[in-house]
Amino acid sequence: MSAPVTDLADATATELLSRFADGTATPSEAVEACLARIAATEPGANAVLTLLADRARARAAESDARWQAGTARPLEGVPYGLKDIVATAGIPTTGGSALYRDHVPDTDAVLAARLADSGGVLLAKLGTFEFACGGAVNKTFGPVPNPWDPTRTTGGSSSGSAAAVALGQLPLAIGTDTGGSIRIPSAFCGLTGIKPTYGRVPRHGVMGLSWTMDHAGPMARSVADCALLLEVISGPHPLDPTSLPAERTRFGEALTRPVEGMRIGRPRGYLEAEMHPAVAAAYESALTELAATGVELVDVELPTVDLAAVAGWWIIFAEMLSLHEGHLSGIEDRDEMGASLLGAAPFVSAADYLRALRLRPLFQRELQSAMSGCDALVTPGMTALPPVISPAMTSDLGDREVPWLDAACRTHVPFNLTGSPGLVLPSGTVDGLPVSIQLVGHPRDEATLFAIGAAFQRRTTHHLRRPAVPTAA
Amino acid sequence: MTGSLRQRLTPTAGPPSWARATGQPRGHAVHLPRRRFHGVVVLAGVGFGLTAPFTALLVVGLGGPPDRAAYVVSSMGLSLLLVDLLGTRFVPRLCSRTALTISMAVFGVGSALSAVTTSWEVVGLARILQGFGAALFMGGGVVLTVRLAGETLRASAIGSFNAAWFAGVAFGPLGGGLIAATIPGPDGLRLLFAVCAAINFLGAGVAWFLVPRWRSPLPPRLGLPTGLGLRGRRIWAALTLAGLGQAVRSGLALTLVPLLGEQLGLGWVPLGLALFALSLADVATMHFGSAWADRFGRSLPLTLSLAWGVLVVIALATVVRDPVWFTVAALATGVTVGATWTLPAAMTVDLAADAGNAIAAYRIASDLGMLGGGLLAGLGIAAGGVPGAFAGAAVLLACGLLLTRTAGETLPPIPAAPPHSPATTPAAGPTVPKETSVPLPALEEFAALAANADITLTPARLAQAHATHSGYRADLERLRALPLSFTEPVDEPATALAWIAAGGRR
Repeated sequence: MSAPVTDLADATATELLSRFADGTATPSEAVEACLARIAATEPGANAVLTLLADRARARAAESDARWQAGTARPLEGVPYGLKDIVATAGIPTTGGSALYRDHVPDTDAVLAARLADSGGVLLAKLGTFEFACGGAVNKTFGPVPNPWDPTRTTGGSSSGSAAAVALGQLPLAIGTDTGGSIRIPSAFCGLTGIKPTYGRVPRHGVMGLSWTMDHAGPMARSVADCALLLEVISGPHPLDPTSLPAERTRFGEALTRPVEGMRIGRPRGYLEAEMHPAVAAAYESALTELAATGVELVDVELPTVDLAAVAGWWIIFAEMLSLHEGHLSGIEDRDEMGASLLGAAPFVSAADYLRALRLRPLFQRELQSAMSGCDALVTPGMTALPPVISPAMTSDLGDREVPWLDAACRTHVPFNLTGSPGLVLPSGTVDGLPVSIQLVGHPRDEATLFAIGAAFQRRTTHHLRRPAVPTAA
Repeated sequence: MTGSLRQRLTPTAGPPSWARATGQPRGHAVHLPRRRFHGVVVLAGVGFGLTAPFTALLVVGLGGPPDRAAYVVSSMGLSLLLVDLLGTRFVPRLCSRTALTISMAVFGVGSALSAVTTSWEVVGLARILQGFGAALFMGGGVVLTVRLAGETLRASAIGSFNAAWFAGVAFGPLGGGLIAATIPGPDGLRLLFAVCAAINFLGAGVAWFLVPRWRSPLPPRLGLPTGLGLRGRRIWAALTLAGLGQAVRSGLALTLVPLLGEQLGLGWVPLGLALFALSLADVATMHFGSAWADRFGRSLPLTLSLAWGVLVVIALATVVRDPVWFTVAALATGVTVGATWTLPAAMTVDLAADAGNAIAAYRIASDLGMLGGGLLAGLGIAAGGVPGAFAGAAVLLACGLLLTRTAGETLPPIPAAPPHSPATTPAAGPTVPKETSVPLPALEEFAALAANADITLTPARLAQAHATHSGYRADLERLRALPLSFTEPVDEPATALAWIAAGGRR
């Protein structure tokens, strides 16, 4: 007899696959459990923009048959959601904007096609800041409240992805990350999320913001699920010339790799300089737990990492202008935060943009030098608790408040510039809200991050804490 | 996404009402709000300044002793201090339009109270009420002004704001004297306060329609200031100078000089004329002196003005005994009064890491100076009469010279143009040592850049973009200083992608 469907909504993808395999649950039951959770939490959660219930039920039935026939694929029957900037053939893809409210692509994004081909069941398109660059207050679709405290933001721009996974609407979701948009909402919502190496996941069909900084990647409730999902969506593709020429890696095999003796660098400077005291204290506790896995923490220096952040933003400004120039004429109709970014973009000179691009190897070499002899770096996953939702949000650093993006992106955007993989892991709570650490890896070495992350999650239970599920509104 | 923005100032959603009312932004739309803002500032100056130099005289006219008149004048510092102490995270974060409108309305109520009373003690209470209005105005107005200015134009921006205000204030003594002279005795002064109230109420209405609506991205909060981040003897010297400047204004310009004029037997009109001369010199010094300070530094002009003030005050204490020389001395006093108001403010902003914190600290220092100035003037009068108080003022100004030396020059270095070199064979070495630093273009030039790219932005959005770039400026300068090869082929982003593809190896 199968377990109650409500339990399936709280199961991870790995657990679902295990239960599908041993026959204690079916994909149809998993989909119904997720639909029941969505019904119980929407519209208050506001994570789901387009619900694909009938379509998902049909796909789940096919997956039921495949499991029975012994032809199951890697993600067979696992429900998932896509941030609504990922193109889906025949399904609206709004970009979180009124401008694309009725936009229906005729082809799938490469990663969406890979998910479908691997047997995943697309259940919903999920909320996002407008064009992945707005603020928490989406004028068209409304804000996505943080499941841990609905007055606060989920962070973004992968806001719907974070809330949906945290609430158990789905076990897996895809986010995108230009300056932290996978890692920030994952950290704010107590999830595990990874921004893979630049180019690891093809971006064809994903609405762009900054083509040299954009990444797509998994958001889930465990390291194992992130590895599972990344394994499915990674790999080069001819439609994306920037995709990394590296064949698919079996990331799942890294989960049991021993980590004892691994060296993890800790850059204490800029990346730890401005933190809320309680979040900083929680970070220190998390490092103690990390060291308990057997890794060795060593101090390293990243002397110009603050300038890497500036260079990153200058590139984002210039490239977003190039992509969104057509939206300048109606800039006042856009969401405030995105408009504030777009409005500043025309005043970035071509010389400064090109300088920032040419300086990227300098920052990469500095990172390479700092990581010499290290298997990974560790940084705070967040420097402050999620801010209260407002058009112009601020983050509380204890003795002062700062614009929230300054606080939220501080530990993330430098690694968009270098293209390094970054994995965030829940590492505790402060005032009942989750806090996180980030592991940064060598390019193409997500496997080591998964190994360390899995070891951390075997020793801790932070990733198992879930927010209370609200009743239907 | 996530765009980190150093949004030091974020307008409220949507364009301001003046932009909406005119539909599409026009070519001069960027100048229009500034002109209107300065127009409101001038009107506020008239409203605030009409009675300022006559407050001490009203107290004396209503039977108060001269030393108490000094205390009443400085009592405004109590409300200023209260607002600035509890409101460092409140006033600068208020919507500018709301703050300036309420400020003038409150000042008007205080003026009306003085107009209807026959008690000099009530005038003191009304002066405190006026102080609340003045604190709101100065806090909101200066923040707005500084936020719109680039790093190298802070002094001139503060100077222009103050000059616009004191252009109105300058009218006060003369206009006030003329109004007060229409009715003999204290009743003329009470009429003056009634007119002042009416002007402020009018100004409040005008401000509501003309002041641009700007709001900090941070929510207003009442509370004691924390973490202002002001450390080091130089910045404390600058703050003390700011207090000294306000003490000079309250104790000297608003108390001792008017009382000396009255003791010399000047009527309301000649006294108003002399104080008008003081105000003119004050305004001119703020305007031209501040621009000069942005080009050549703060230290020298402040030193000269303080030394000049010592000489003038000694003259007032010893040799000035007739109306003509009194008027000349008042004119000369205005130079020191103007310089000691604006230059320490610019020095404080120069030395602080955060302009908002600097302004908050500057305001508190100024309030303490206002209180201290009146207190010292009163003590001086009680001890040695008005001439004795002038002698004490000379000593204080001399102390200011020592503080100026401690603060040193604070003007941020303006990058020099690179030396011309023949465009032939490059010098040996593979890197450019440092690229030319170009100051951030002014807001007007941002508008020109946008127009040149066929981009139309509302003035509010344009100002927001300018504020964003101002916030990034220092870091961008550092980024520009990083060396880049110019003798090797440029193959970015291929190099960066190859590094990634190789797993972070070379």
